[in-house]
Amino acid sequence: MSAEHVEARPGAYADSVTLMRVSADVRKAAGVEAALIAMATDLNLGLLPAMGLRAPPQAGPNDLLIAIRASDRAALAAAIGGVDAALTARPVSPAGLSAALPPRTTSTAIRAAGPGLALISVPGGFAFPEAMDALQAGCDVMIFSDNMPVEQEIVLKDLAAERGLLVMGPDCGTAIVGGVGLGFSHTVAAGPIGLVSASGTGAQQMLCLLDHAGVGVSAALGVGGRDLSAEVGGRSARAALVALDEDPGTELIIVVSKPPAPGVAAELREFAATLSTPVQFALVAPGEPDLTAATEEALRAMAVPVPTWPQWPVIDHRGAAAAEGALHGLFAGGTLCDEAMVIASGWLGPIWSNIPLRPEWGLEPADLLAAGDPRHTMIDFGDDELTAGRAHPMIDQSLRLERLAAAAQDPATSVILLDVVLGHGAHPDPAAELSPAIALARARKIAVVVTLIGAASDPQHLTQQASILQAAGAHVFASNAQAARFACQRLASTS
Amino acid sequence: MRLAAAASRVVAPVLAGPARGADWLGVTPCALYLRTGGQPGVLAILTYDALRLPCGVRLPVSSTEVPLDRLVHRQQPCLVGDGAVVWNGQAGSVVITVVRQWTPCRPPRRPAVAVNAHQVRDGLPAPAAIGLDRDLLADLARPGSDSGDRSVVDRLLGRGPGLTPSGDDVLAGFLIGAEAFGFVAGGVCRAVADFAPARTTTLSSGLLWHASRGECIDEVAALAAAISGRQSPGPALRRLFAVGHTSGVALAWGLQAAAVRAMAMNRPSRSGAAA
Repeated sequence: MSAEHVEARPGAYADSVTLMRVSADVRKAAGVEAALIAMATDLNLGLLPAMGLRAPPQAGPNDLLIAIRASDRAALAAAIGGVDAALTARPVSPAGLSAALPPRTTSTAIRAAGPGLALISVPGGFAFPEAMDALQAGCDVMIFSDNMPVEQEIVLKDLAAERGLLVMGPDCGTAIVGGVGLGFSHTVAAGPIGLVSASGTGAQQMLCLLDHAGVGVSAALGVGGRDLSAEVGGRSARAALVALDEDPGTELIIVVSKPPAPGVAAELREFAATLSTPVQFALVAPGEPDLTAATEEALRAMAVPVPTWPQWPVIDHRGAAAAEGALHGLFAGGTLCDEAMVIASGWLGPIWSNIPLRPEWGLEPADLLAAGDPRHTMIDFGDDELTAGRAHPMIDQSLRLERLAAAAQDPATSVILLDVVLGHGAHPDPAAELSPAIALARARKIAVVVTLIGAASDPQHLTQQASILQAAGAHVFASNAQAARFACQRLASTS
Repeated sequence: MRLAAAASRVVAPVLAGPARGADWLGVTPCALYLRTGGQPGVLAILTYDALRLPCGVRLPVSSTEVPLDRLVHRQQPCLVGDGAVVWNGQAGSVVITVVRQWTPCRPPRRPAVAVNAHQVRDGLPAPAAIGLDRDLLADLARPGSDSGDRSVVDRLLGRGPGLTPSGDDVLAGFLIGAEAFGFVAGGVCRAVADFAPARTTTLSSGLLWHASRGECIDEVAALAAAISGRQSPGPALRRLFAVGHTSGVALAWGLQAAAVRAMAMNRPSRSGAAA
């Protein structure tokens, strides 16, 4: 005689996949004649009469219906046991609940690890809340991201000032804090000079020149390229100056910046004069010493001999006579571009650029990548407008390579000036990528002049990179100022 | 355990109100379903790898990191309100605090494209594969009277084994399709509102309430957009198939039925064409 079991089980549930699988398994079990495991909706209850079963009283749609008819009691009991086992089986978590959950926000990470320095590197539109979160949790902040509105930068820096913290950035590309290089950084020794930098590649130029001279640094605190603008007013530069002044290991502070707002530079000089540590300024602007000269001045202040800065002159002089034409500077570093423009404009007059020294020398966006421009131009490929949605040109050279190839084939081009920045975070072998285009330019009797920014212990091997560029036909200089002057001399000698 | 969460704007009022008891409706590693007061009457606590149900409160953890079913002790009461969901579970107390809100997905509102609707139909498994018959779906797709619509809803609601029976999924897809393709499915809407609370699971009834407002999971909205867009609906259809065991297919059949009805309602009548 057959046995049957019909139950509406409250508080029991399973997804449809499980229920269908359990139903199918039970139906296949020995001695089972009919089975339905489903939620007790009216329609499912309506299927029972066809199975020869009756709906249980009080069943509701949120109950689990277990209806089985089997050939005997033993088969029925086995089937019910199978249903129970299948419905209570749970997957085992590989991690288990005892594993600690990783922090999901900046502030929870800081609370777990204790306050220190938070490095924010997210698309610029999202950097502000993360930086604010870090400041409120008591951290100094380095904002590697660019494309942050200036209003947000000011809010962050004002909050930092209230709390005695430092905001490095936004667009802070390089820093050395506690002996650790952050962002694009070089392998340099510890030493007595501290840098406050509103210029990433400006700081990198000075760090590498100091490395060539055998002098290390105590810290390099980036403050963001806009910090010495009229809007931001040097808010972070002051905080960084104070931090380095309080550091007993810092014997000389250098402030390096892209062209600053004159009023801000003057105020900062006044502030620096109140500190106990001597402060020297390296401001890239007409009438100011270039970065190489500023480095030499710092070396003399530290009683360190000024070395001859490395250069790797072109080996093959065939076809070296440049025709009269245009100078095109294609830079990854904004400050290096600024410095080259300051020098070149003294020799050649207006230099047209996307970051012009004067507003009237501004290049239209359409001109940035167009070949055939007879004017002297210098483009900063690291500028915000050209890095939105792509990696910095120190990592991804594709846009610059495109422009380089176009300039190399342009009969109006006479000299091409490039910077190549090595170090941690930068392209692993930039010279290999650039050398075919350099060789092409040389074949067309265009002079190629390269500033090679790198420290002796950088991972790309400075001398190897220099050799590759040299072999392709470039004149290579460790000093950007020397490279710019050499490029101008080539033009001046043919004009 | 304390977790921050983002709540759907639709369930935010229930969470913001005074704390009240809630019943467990269902527990899986990636979702906890609770019966609450107010509308839609269901709250789903979801890991971030779960479907984004419009009644959902999303957590910043995956079901691998925190299998939710291991946090729940069904006999323990749960409180929902005062900006949090709180209960004592297998691993101690759990407090889920709502810190953000998000807006449930809705499909774009524009006419269905015939060729796309036909492609969807051709790409769907036979209705029998999900326990439905073709005639029933044809009845749903045909513009009809209120009584006809009530009869179709009556035959679909609660049909299928799971927490969201296949028949309900078809109706949910149809209601979303009506919203997307721009016709009034008054008869179906009223019948669902009248019958669903008593005739199907509370979770499914809640999801049908959302569907009647045009709120759905992203995968359904994507297929609706594809049916009314310029691209082939193939990719969106495959994405929807991955939802549940039969739910994705059933939702797609519902959308397809809505597209067919929308096109039939917009087609000029013979007398109109002759005029």
